[in-house]
Amino acid sequence: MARPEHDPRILAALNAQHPSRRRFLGMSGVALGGLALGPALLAACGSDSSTSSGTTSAGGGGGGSFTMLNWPFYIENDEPESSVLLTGFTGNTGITVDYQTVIDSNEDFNTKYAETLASGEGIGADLIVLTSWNCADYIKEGWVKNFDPASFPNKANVIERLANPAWDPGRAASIPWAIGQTGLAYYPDKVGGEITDVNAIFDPKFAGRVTVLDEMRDTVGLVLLGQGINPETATTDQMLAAVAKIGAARDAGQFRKITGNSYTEDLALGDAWISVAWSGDAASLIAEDENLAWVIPDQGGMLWVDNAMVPVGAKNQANAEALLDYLYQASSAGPFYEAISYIPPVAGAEAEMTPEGRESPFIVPPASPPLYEFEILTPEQTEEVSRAFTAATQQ
Amino acid sequence: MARTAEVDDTASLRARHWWVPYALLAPGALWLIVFFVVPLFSMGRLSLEDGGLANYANVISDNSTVIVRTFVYAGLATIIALAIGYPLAYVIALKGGRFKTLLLALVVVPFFVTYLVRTLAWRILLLEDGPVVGAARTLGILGDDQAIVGSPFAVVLALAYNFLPFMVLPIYVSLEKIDVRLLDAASDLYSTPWRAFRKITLLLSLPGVFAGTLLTFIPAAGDFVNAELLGSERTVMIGNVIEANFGKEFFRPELSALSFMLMAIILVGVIVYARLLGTEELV
Amino acid sequence: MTAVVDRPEAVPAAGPEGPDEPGGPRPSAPPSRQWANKLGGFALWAWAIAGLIFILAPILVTILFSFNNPAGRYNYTWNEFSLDAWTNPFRYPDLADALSLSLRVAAVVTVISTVLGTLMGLALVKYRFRAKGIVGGILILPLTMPEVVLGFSLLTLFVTVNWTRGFVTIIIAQVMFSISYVAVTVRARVRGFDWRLEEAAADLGAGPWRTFVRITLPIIGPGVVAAALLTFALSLDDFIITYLNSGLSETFPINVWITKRSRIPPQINVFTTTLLLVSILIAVAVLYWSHRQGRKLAAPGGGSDE
Repeated sequence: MARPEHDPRILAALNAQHPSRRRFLGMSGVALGGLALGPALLAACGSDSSTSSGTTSAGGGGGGSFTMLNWPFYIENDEPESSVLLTGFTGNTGITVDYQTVIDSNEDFNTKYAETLASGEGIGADLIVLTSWNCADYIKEGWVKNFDPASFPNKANVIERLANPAWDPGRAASIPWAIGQTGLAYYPDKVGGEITDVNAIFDPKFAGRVTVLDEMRDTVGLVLLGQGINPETATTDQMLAAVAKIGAARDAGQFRKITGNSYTEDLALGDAWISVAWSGDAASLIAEDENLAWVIPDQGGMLWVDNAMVPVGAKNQANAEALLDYLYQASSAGPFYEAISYIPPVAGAEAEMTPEGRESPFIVPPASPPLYEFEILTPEQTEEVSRAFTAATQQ
Repeated sequence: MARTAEVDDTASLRARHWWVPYALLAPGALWLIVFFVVPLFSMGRLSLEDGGLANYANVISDNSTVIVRTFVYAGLATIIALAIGYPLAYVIALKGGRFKTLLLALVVVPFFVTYLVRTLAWRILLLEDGPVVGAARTLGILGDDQAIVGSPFAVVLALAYNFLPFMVLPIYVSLEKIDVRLLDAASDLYSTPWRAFRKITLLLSLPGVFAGTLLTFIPAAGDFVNAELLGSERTVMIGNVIEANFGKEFFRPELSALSFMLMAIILVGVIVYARLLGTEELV
Repeated sequence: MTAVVDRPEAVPAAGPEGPDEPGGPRPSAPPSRQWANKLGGFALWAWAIAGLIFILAPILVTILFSFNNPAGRYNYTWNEFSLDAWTNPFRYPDLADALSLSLRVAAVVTVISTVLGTLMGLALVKYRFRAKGIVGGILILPLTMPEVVLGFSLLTLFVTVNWTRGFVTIIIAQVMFSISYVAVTVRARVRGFDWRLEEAAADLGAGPWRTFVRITLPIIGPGVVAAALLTFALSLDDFIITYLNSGLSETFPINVWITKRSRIPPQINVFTTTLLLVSILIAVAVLYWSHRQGRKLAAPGGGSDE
């Protein structure tokens, strides 16, 4: 490195200014320290302080409270304060609900809470909502508590079809919260018209503008349908082939994001033009923006059920069951499911809806295109396909 | 009273009792050892679980694109931060006069806004219906269907932005310490201001540049926030892989190996970088 | 004509022939060179100002959007002016709780880190002892590693010993990197002080307590305060290390991160702007106070160099 050759004055002054390694960090320290940053004095008032588990009670109510963790768009407007269900419930029973929209995907939830649940410790919640296949695992692992029949008599109002699944006979520990469909939500004006083919998600014209779900069963299910395979009877190899196709498309930059529920953000902002989406989400988004459209592709869509369960370590089980009991009356359920645009699992709910509600494809899906439920996988299959899917979509 | 020589030992004491400095150090050192040094070992042990050294080979082959991309982004971000930050530091230090502190404060003010919120603000600025994209499309820089959010450009720009104060401050400090008379002499001697700058000022500010580039590059290489908020699947960085999977028990050995890779590459890079800049200057 | 460096005693620019013998004023540069210099100077200023605008734009946007009433659930597009978020800041209880948690964590972390870090910084600057180099090295190391590595490695420790992540682990994680900041800041601020003054005071008969209060404290005081404030701010803002070690607890940044998928309300901007204003006020106050302290100490010939 060239140094100034000539003036001895300069050389002398340079030597005097000789820097050192320790000085840098000292300098950086001086620089950072010299511009002291100030503490904030804003004190949060108006809410109770949180406990170390990070959950709080929503304030005094006299009748107690409980904490519920749920997915987005599963109560009206996603706002507890204006939810008719929750406010009606609180008015009726005096129990307040600490409602947290923190569930983004089954996988996400599992990775976050599995270790805590396995240890038997509470996760700070009294009610959680997860998809059937996941619920089956939780029940098998003993991570949830059985319902107390005395607190939840209306459980009998569950619709016939879902009253007795093999993985939870008699609905001992789980009860459906919503029945939904997986299809495509998209902007017709951005993609140049209507979409009816699920393979549109692989169309290079839309590269970087497509989002798919990180829920293996939803995404792989649709891809299988696009290949003409029935997801209720697919073989492991067929599933792995679908996973490989997804991975290849991702590496080629076809997908903008592979996400849980957060796809709604990209979709709402118009960053994504086509999303593999859940029906109720789509309904809410379309209500906010008419430019969005929803379709079950011609090849078919997926059908799934999300169920409410009481996790181990819950401290307010009775209060949580009280909400379920309140929900499982046709009079509450009808307007509720109409508002969130999901298929109601409560018998007689449709009768309590408005005519428009009964005609909504989100609430009463038409007979065609067909809807399929993803087959129940053995633990080995789950492990193999899930791992392959994670590897394909996360690395 | 400015000191220009290294002062570490000349004015410090031999303690009255030998244990005094160690007693002072003990609590803090203990904390660091238990919660900084030991975790590195637990991470190392974890990285060898279920596969031993093969884990490292797998991690590299599974994530080669991500690894390369991460360092490319971090490098570009550092260069951009240098390009913006050096002139800024220069102007403030040597031409700021009375307003030096105020200007410096303006540079640091972004730091008082939470990291995530500053980055979300970039999302707003770079929105497809926003002014920036509109202008870019009108100027023809951007196609009508192209967006900035989701592109590598957005991520690199945001990385440069978020670590800019780390670049500006060290350079400022080193420029500020330059003896005024030296600069006068330089302008005396050299025919153009640019030459004077190159021969004198730039050299003397090298320690600051060294610190600034490192303080920018290293955190940028480990970042995931910018890539997550402003990027897409094609801008996934090492940090994103860790963030997406840190809760999954079966993934942690791989993530541990990945973290060590990140650290190792940075360490090697820093050593090479220090050599390049001429260690006599720095030791 | 002044060269690039603007100093009161401006020296005429050197001649066009390049570096020659030193000394003696030279003939002014030709007009074309002067014009080029001016243009260069102007370009430099313009670029610097553009840089400042670049830095400040997102901040202004953040403040501006606290006055927005978003059309949907995401506060990304300007819809209409509204004071609603300011009059209703605690509308989202989980957000307010997260902020409260952040403040409490920051308070605890600041106290612990300042004490531990100051002790370390003092030891390193005041005494000569054998392990100095190593300790200094370990101290600097956390500052030179990416947060994701620091955070994830700490997580592996917690996972290995089965320590449930929550409030306590957040504090542990934040103190871990804050100690280094405090020690480095205190050390840098206090550097240059002749500690033999302390010995002199002791020789003159001052007891250890008196020496501490009258001599040591005023010297390290500003550095310690600066370090404490720095720690508080860093703690409030920390995301990556905290997120990897927070378990189910949510600090303010974590809450924003988690809930941003379903909503981004202007209340976030309200809190952020308020924190910004308060931080600026306190920084100004501290700078003013330390400026005055500096002037007070400058007279007798000792004191903190800024």
